[in-house]
Amino acid sequence: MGSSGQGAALDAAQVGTFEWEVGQPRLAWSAWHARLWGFASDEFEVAYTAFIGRVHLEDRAAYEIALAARTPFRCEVRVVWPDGSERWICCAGDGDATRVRGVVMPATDGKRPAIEDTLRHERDFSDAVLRSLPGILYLYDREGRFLRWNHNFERVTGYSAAEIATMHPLQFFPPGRQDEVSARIAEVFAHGASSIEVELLAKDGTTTLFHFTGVELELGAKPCLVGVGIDVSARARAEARYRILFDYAPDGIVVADDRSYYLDANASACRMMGYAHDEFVGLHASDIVVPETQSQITEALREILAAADYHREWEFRRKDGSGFPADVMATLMPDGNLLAVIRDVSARKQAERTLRELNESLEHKVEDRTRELHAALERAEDADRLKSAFLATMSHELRTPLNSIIGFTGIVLKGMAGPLTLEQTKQLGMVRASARHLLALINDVLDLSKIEADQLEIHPARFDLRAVLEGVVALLAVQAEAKRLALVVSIEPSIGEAVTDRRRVEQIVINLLNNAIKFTDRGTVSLDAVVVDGRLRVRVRDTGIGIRAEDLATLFQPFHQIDNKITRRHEGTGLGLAICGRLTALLGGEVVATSTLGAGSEFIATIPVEVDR
Amino acid sequence: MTRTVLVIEDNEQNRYLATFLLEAAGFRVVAATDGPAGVALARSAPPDIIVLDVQLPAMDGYQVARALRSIAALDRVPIVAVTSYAMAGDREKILAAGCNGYIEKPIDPETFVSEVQGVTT
Repeated sequence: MGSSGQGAALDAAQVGTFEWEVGQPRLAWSAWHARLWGFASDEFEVAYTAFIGRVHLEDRAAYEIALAARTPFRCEVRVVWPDGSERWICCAGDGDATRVRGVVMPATDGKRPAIEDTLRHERDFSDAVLRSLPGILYLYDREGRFLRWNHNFERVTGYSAAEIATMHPLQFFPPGRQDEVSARIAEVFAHGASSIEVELLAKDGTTTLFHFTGVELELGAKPCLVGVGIDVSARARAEARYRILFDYAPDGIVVADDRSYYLDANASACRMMGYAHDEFVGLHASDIVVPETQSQITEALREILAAADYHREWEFRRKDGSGFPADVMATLMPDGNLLAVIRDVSARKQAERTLRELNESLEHKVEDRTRELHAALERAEDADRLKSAFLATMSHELRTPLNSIIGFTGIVLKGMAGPLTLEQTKQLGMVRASARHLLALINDVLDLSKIEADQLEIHPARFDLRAVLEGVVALLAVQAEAKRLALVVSIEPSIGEAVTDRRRVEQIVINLLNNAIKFTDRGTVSLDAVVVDGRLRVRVRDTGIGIRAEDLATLFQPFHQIDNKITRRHEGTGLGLAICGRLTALLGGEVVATSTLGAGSEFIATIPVEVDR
Repeated sequence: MTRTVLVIEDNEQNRYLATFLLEAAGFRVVAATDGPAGVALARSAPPDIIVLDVQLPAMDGYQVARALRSIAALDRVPIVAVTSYAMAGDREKILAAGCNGYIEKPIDPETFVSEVQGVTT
């Protein structure tokens, strides 16, 4: 300190002085300095911490840096009095390695001097940046004393500013990591920069993974460390998830560089290929595919680089030389490496093969069966041909004698072979009727067997439909008359020529009318025929015995004449309706029956005919 | 002038029936019991009418009709086929083989002769 006179002058000018042996816990100061610092005592000594503690928190680091700078300094700081009021103080001084001396005086009007405004703005700006920085930022000196830090640092660590000011950087790390952190800090001071990923230890004992970057900063002549920490826990979690996926994926996943050398492989890939992880890394794609496909690797690489959705099947080769097929999906990663997912499809291939073999064997079986069926069909057709031939022969053989029976009976009945008595005429008439019935039976059986064997051919031709219908009516009118039945006929006047099988139409109408007359003992049998939309509709109604509802269903099946008692009373083959139904179907039409037992029946046959109008 | 009818029919009764009816109507009848014999007869002495059973053993009526039509002297002689209950389609075959018409069995004594004459005129 200077002389007392000088001191008085300084006091008068409200200028305080101080002198500090660098690093000492106490420093010497003038009474005016003490006053400017808000101290009431006239002590010429004060604890360094008390001295620096009165400097506003935001200015403290800068002032300490200035004090430690070993060069002349001048700065403005706020001093916070015990009552909380702030005063702007102008500080100036100089120092060396051992001692700092300086003066302090109130800044103009106790406020920040105008000339410092620009600097102040600059500082506000950097403060704002520090506050808004998502990470944490801190500055500490070589001894590990924190000089500045951002608010985030307090928030993340949970320590107050006052606490941080007294703490050492290593206290923010778990004990187990402190050596490593310490080494990196040393690296910063030795080489200028370093970084580390390490857990930050908060006041409550929790840790969060941070990535820290430290850079050496000379503040004055004082080496400091400016550090930035970024919370990488989210990234670390994502990486962990990715790693789990990678490690536990059932598919093989490999990472290769742009020359197809493997950088990484998951457990599935290693298992698939039969390599340990360490062996796998460093292999080239050509090492794990079968030799025949090695030449295609370059082309595949080009494809992967060109398109995002590479998907091919490759034949891989295990370490033991065995091969297996696998689906490969590959893509280019942002870092320029290739990621490939390998799925072993040998099981699927095997299943496909098995399925194919099954199919083939099934096909063989089907072929065999088809051959057998074909042979059976041929046998059946042979049998059918034999049956048809037999029927044709038999019907011929049966009819030939019948022809002569009917013929000679006719001759004798006609009296051509001499005169007959009445009784002889009557009996011969019975012989002829029986012979004709037998012939009808044979014809019906032959017809039906031909229909059943699909051998009945339809021969459509143009003919006079009206004449045919009238002919049938005339033929059966005799029988109706014999039973004293009224036969009411209505044929639409417009019916003329038509095209279909004349003989079959005739047969159908004869059958229906014949049946009606046969099963009717008294009353009326009526026939009406109309052509509607190119279809002939013949309706035959009677007032006969009728048909039970349950018998209607089987009415058109062969040999189903309904009641044996009826059969005996009403002669017939029992084939008439069966033939009728099949013939109408063959002509593209249908026949339906409705009936009330005891009251009569109605049959309607509908047959397509081409009609000239 | 008496016209001659050649009846080719294997069944004795039917042959006799046809012969009886035709002779009763004033025709002269020669008969053959099978196709080859009928063709030989027709060739040696051409008849005025031929009545031909379609269902003959060995050489059926169609073959016989074609054989008869191949003989120049017989190309204008009417041939009447006699067929059992003919199926549709049989008619076309009969006419295609060279017959002029056909009569269906059973032979009706009342109409047989007129049917034969109907085909031949």
